[in-house]
Amino acid sequence: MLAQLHTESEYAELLLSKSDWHPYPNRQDRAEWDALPVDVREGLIKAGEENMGFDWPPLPATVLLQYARNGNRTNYQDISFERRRKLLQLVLAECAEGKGRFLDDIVNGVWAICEESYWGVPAHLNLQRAGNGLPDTSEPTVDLFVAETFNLLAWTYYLIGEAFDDVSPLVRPRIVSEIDQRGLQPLEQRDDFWWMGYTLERKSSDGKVSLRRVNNWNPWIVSNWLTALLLTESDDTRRATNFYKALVTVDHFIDPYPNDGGCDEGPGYWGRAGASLFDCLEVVLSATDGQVNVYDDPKVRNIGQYVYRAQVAGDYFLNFADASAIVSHSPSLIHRYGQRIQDADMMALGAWFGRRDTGEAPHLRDTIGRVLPALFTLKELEGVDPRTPLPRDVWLEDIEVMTARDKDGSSDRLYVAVKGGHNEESHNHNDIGNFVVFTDGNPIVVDAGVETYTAKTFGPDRYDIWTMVSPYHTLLPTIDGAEQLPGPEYCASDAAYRSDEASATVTLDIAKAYGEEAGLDQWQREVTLQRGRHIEVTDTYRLSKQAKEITVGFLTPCNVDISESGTIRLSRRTFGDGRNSGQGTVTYPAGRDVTFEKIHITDPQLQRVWGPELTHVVLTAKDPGQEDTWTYRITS
Amino acid sequence: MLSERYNDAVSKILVSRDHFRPYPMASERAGWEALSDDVKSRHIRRGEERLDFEWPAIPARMILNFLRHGDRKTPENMRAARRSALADLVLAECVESKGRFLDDIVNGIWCTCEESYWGNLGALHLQKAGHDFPDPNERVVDLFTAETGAFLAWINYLLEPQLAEVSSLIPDRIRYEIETRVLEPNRRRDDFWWMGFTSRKVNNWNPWINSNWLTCVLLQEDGDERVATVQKILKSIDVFIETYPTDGGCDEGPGYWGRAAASLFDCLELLSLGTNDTISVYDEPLIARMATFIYRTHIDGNWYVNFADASARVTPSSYLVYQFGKRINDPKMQAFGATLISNSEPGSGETLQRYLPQLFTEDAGQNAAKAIPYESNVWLDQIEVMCAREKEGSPEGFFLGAKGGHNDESHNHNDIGTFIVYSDGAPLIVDAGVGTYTGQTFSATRYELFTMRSAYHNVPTVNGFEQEEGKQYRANRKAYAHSDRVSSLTLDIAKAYPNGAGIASWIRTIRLERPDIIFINDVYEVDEIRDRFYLHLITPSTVSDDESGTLTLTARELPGDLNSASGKVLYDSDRFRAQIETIEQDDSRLAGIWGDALYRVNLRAIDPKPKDSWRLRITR
Repeated sequence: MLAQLHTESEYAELLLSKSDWHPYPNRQDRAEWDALPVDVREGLIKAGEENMGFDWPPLPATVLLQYARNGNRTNYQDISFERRRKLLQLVLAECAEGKGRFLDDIVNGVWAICEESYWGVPAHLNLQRAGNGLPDTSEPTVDLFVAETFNLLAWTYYLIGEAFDDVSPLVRPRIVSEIDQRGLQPLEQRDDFWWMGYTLERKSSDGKVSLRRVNNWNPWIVSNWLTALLLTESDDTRRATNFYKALVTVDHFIDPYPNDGGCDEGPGYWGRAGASLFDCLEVVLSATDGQVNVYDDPKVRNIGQYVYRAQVAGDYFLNFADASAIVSHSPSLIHRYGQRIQDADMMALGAWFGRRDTGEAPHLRDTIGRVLPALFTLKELEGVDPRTPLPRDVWLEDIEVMTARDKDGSSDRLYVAVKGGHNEESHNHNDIGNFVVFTDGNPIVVDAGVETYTAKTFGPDRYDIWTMVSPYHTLLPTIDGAEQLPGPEYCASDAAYRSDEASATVTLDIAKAYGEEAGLDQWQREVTLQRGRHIEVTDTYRLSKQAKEITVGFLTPCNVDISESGTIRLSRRTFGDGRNSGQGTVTYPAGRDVTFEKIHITDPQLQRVWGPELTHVVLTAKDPGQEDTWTYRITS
Repeated sequence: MLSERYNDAVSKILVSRDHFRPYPMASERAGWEALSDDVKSRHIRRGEERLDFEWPAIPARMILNFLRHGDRKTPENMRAARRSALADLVLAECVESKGRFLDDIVNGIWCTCEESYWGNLGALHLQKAGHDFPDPNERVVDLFTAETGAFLAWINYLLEPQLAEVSSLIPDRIRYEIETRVLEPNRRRDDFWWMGFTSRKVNNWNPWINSNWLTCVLLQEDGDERVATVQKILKSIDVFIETYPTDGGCDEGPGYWGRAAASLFDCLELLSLGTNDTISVYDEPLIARMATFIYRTHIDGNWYVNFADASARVTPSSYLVYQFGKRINDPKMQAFGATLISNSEPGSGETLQRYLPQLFTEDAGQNAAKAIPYESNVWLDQIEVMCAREKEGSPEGFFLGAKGGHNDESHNHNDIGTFIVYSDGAPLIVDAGVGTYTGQTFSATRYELFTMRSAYHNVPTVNGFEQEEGKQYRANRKAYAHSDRVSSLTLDIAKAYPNGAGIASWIRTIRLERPDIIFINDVYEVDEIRDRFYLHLITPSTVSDDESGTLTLTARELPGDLNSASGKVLYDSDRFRAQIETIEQDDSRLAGIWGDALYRVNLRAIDPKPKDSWRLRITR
């Protein structure tokens, strides 16, 4: 899209030079920083003061090696990320105050980061030819956090500017040189980082070659690439060439993106998918002095609007795939995206997030490229009335996701969300036909989400993890042990959707999500919300051979009562943090053995969402008919 | 000397990289197993003490402290702590070979490779950006850049397969860092002053860096580059040898001998190893004179003649002294080295580079004859240093050292005509030496440091003038005499002072009259009396003045279970009035030698005449 709007040479004309691009006030622009609300300024300064004299914790090789040795990625990340957070806080404090008090500590932090052998995280070292283990400093590769780091350093360079020279004139050259060697050069020279999308060729079963879609890595890294390039590179020719390459690269994300704007990685990743695309578009708009503006493009609009289309209620968002059910997005970013696409609903959601965030120093929790626009649009955000749009009906026909609720703008009573799609989505779970149910804004039938990432999460044994597989997704059949399989050919077919005042219905056939051994000719699932009444799930199947047993199951955060045959009662359970589950009943066809097991949640990532346990309810049909129709009804 | 003899042959005589195996690698177990149980358990113990070592950070804050306050010691100490922990771990792993120390070794290597700069901050004047942060775009090679390069090269030599087992990128990283920080800049550039290809005179930096550069080349470079670099190194070392004083004297003092002549020895030994013993210049008299300087300036115990920036106490590499003595075939030096060996723990304080030859030698000197030369008739006519003592072969009685020279020596002090006196091997009249190196030590304000000034050496202040620094400030008309009864040095120090002092001549005679009297005679002529005249004396002993011509110096305890000496200085009380002042020593380096104070006696001339003579007498 972007690379088609203008030729490379036209872009070269449109692009501001380094000295003319002044996206936000820097430390020298005292008036703007002094004009920030007093409490905000003082908050920034206080956070900086707490970090004066900070001793930058070491990053030993053996901590880096942990990922290769035992899959632990967090021990290294925790230290690496803390270093960056401290630097961010010091830089903002210095900008807010402008007295030079924080400069020594900033230099200390910059120097420590510049000395790191690698700016990324060990889990991403598979980008280098040497593979996982230690980083090869002679082959710098660019992952998400290499990019985040050069972005932070580029902003540091821009914001602190000449004041660095008072400490030493060699600090700025060091920053520029490190950004160049670790970021700009490899990005300029190479096309083979997978996230760039130049090499993701895929042959489908009919021999057709297509490009596999890149995921959130692409816009996330490109947003940082654009920023660092334009803030630190002074050669106009090199700026223009690399700017254009970055646009071609991000087009690999935009062009195949579903027109409906659906984020197949789930709304938790929207913050780094759609939102990072917004970051890219903002840099492009600003660096071309407003001349390259694509905010009226329907796909760009849809990508933005997805964020509220995927909101269930309050903090809960749709969490298909590796997304977490509880999501918090940057208020300012949503607000600004809403402004750009002139969508009052979206702006209102931004304001809603803003009011909701009562934690300490909200401005210091985001990445610096988002903090800056947020700081200088605070007043605009305050002027918007907070509201959650909660549209009654959503159908994302490309990613095959339906959501439906009883009433527009309200989370009262029933909410259902269903997905089709295929089993090679980004951050895929084997979950075609999966659905979740909320009552009065609280979960009763859920998708667990994902545990804390380890080496296994993205390794060959991914589908040994329970959260990834179909038996732990809602009422997905396992036929004599045969589950859904991962891969693009395992997909939903014949998806259809209709909705009106009274109801919303999606139908899909999930038979193709299984391998041949499952013997499924057809498994048509129809999920209907009868507004104000119930949710009805009708599965019509046909097997090519007789099966001994079909099991289905679902996960619930509720207390479970199966004593009454034909009905499962789901009652309210508190999560211990002020939240609780919803309540409801699930009726099921006769002749099922019903059991349930408690899953004790020890993983912190899951615990944050579901508390200490989830319950897995399993329904078993012995000697099922070779074809049949099963109906479930869920009420609140 | 070297390039003339060997340059053309280098391509033929140089051992290739893959055949350069001077010491057993860790995987060659026989060599390591054959070490004595003592040695093995000592290294394992030292390694165990370093397990889970937390590598101290060397943050930019320390660079700022250096730039602003001159503190170079703190980052140097951090670096030294890293290097010594890593050396301990490496030796422990080589000895034990169970992999127990590898993770810590890898951490040590990794953080070393991450250091922005391996060298001394004080040496950053080497870069075009000058005295500042290290410039990421210009790698410069100073002493500790080269030291670190050689250190890592040896580690990789000893443990490469084991390190590669942890990650193949570790040996690669080591090679990459050595290439970019040492080999590449040295290959490309001729303008590092220490190389000797510019007009600036070289000093100990030359052989010290060359020895480490040579190590990096021998262990890492191959093919044509290997030959060309060795040829370049030979040329560079030649500049050091050929500009060295022909008397073999180290004008930087015996403390620097360990990095001047001794580093040259390291170079020669490496060259010998790298050419299957083909390169050898140990038969050259100059090399022998350079070697023997170390015992010719020895006083007693750890005390050495310490003119210039040398410390008064020195611990030379014992095995190196012994081995150097063997190479030049000097029994006195061998016996001196053997004595040093018997007094020290093997390998403590040695770099890996110097320790390996000692570890794997067939003759570690433990069983060799021991004796200390205690020479009584030393005159180094180029650096103009005299050493005399009461009894040849014995530390008993007086030792007298004196110097002429000029005030542009390497590590110069303004000290022409100064002298030191030891009695029964203990210091009585001394040269303070030098404090902890700071940003000031090698800066434009060097001569504001008291240790550098003539008023704090045992020389006069004339018409209110001290000596000045510069090559034109020098001693003239030197005369050294030695007989059974007398050793004396006479020199005219008039030209050590600026013209403003108005000195026509200042003939100083420093004389030991055996058995036990030392005379300092000054015969001078100035154009007029304009300001004060002093004779200064520095002593570690406490001083009392009876105001009638006798200064009594009383022995005092010094750090390290040592004492200063007692003695008397007799002066003409009609002509001088003595002031005694305490110079508090808050600097750790000076205090480590002299305790918390040194004392300065200022003998102020009463009513001096433009042309006169006076005399001090020092007795027991």
